[in-house]
Amino acid sequence: MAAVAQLQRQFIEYTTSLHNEGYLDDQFTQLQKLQDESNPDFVVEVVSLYFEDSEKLLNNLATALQQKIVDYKQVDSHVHQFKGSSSSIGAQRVATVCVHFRNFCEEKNLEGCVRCLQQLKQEYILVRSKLEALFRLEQQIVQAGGQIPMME
Amino acid sequence: MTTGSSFGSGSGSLGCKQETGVMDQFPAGLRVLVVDDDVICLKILEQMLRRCSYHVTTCSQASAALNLLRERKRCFDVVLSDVHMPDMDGFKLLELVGLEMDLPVIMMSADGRTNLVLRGIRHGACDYLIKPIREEQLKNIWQHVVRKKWNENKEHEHSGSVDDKDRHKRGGDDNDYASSVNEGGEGALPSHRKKRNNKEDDDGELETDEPGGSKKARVVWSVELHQQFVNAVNQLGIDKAVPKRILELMNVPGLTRENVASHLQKFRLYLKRLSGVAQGVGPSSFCGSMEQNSKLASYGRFEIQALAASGQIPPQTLVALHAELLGQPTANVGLPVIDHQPLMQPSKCMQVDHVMSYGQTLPSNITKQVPQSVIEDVHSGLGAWHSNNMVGGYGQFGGQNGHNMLFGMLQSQSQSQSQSQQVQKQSITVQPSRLVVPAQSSANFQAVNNGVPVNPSHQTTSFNRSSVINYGVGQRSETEMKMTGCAVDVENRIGGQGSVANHSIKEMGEKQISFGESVHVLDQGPLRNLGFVGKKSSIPSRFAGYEAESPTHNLNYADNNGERRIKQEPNIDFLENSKAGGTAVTHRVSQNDLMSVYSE
Repeated sequence: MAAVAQLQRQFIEYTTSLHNEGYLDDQFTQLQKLQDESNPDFVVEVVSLYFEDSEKLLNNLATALQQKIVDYKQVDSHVHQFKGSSSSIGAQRVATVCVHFRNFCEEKNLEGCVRCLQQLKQEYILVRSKLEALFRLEQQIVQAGGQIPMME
Repeated sequence: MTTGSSFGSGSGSLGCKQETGVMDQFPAGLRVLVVDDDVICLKILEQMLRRCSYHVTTCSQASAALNLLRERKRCFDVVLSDVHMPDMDGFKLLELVGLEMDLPVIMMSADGRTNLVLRGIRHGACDYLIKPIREEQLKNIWQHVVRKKWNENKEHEHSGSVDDKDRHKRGGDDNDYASSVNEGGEGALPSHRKKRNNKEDDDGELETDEPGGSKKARVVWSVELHQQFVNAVNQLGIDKAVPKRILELMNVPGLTRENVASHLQKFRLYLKRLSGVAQGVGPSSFCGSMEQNSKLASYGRFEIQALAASGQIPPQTLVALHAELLGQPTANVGLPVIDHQPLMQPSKCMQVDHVMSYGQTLPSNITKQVPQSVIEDVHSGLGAWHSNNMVGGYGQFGGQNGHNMLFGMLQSQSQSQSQSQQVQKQSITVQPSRLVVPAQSSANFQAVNNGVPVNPSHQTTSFNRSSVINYGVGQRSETEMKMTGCAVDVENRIGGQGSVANHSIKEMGEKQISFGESVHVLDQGPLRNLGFVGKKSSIPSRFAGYEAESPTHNLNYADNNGERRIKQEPNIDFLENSKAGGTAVTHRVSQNDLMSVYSE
């Protein structure tokens, strides 16, 4: 159907742009490839977990940085975690901010850390909205009876 | 593909089943345990591993993973662990797993800095993967399992152990191993390891007759023999100990320079490993005077006691202690391990006490009872856990003697299953093939860990490290706890991670030092091994009793066709087990032990 075809095209374009802009990287493609009949909602599940986890981490980070005496090891630990999960799902830009964040932690640079946290929040919100948009597109395709195109 | 199981904080009692059918196509069916506090990574890895046709179990807490491994040692082939975890340092988990279970461990981290990777290697990681991990990287992890098995086999061979075939035969009772492993306690004992390494058929005798017609005379490094070796080394000084001189000092007829040389090599590796953990330097942190090489020899009882008193027994100390213990056959061996909780002190150091007690008790048992089969079992090399089962009393003796002793004890103690159950608790992680060198503290551990398949009797070595852990033998719960703590402690010390130790101890939640693997498993295990031994005929009837029980283990050797071959080749076992498809257990076991578990 034309509708399906159009949706599919949209999907492909959108995914490509996300990759080009660095929001998502190849790891996300890997995730999509992992999805199969035995695990049909794999990507959505993993990403949902990621959202939950990220929000917790961001809160923890905010709290940690607000302490009178900042425990940089703890902060670094959270960031490390965030970096790990972000890179696992392919949220490249988020992972990159984490790298900078860790450097500031090592230097015990509070200002740098606070700035990074802000950046982290922004990138996270961005990637979250983009992924949600992507999932919506997928849903539309499926509802219209089509197949989600495989990205290479 | 089987579905993985997830273990949060140690919940879940998943039997380790192998899906029949997948085992036919090795490496399909490889049983992987993934430990990572990041649930997202865990989920992704799980899916990737499933796609590789592996059998996956996930764990988000290191302590839970450790417990799981202790309970079901035979249920896993390889462990994948993250480095950065809140409840326990990944490297510590790595060490513990290597010591206690002798499983290949692959580390993972988003942090790929060279120093961390190096640390991983130093702690014994088979590989270090940098996140994000791709599916392709996971496809080949089976190589580590096979390689390890092969290497252990090779070492085993070189060390002149008894013909594995014999051992395998004895292990015929393990058929049920796989199937029972999951049952509460009937689990098959990972005696495979023992079997494989069971070099010694006799306690302390040199065996030169090889049924299989092997070319080398196999030396059974019994406890006594090992003690003699250790004494000789001590006398000469580890740095100056050369095989020729050791041989002279030992003055054991029939022992060749080659036998000593290979044994020495293992011993050295063990020592190195122990000290290497502490960043390459003899852990002087312990008592300040332990230098890995030289100290071993000089470690005297007093020192050990002093250490014990101080509550911090470094691994070396334990080794030394162990050695001391070995030399003193006074103890009341008769002490059943199971109920033995003697030294469990809340502090970490308790181990020392245990060691002592073990040492003492063992001698008597060992000498008398350690039938070859026992030894074999003990040595299965990959895990000391056999010993747990086997020797009720063994539990006490973590060290190498323990193994042998365990067997002996086991046998003497319980011909019945129930006994074995107890034994299980003891779960001494004697690693069958390991060189158990009680005397040399850390070195011993190393040896053990290196899988020096010296002799079952040498299990002691493994003892050191694992023994520490094993001390807990007795009652699983408490003792184990302590042990774990201690072990951890010791380990930490060695590795210079004192803080970690404490840390780990705490974290360890239930400490089951499951050396012996959970009860159910134990039962079968040791008994089985014993049984195996008997099969061969070297083992007296007491083993016979066990044979009956180890149903699941399909003892490789026994009647299973072509079991014999299993013994030596790890990969074969692996494959065999796979084929057996039956119980996961078997599959696992075979890896290590070759001998023991043969999936039917």
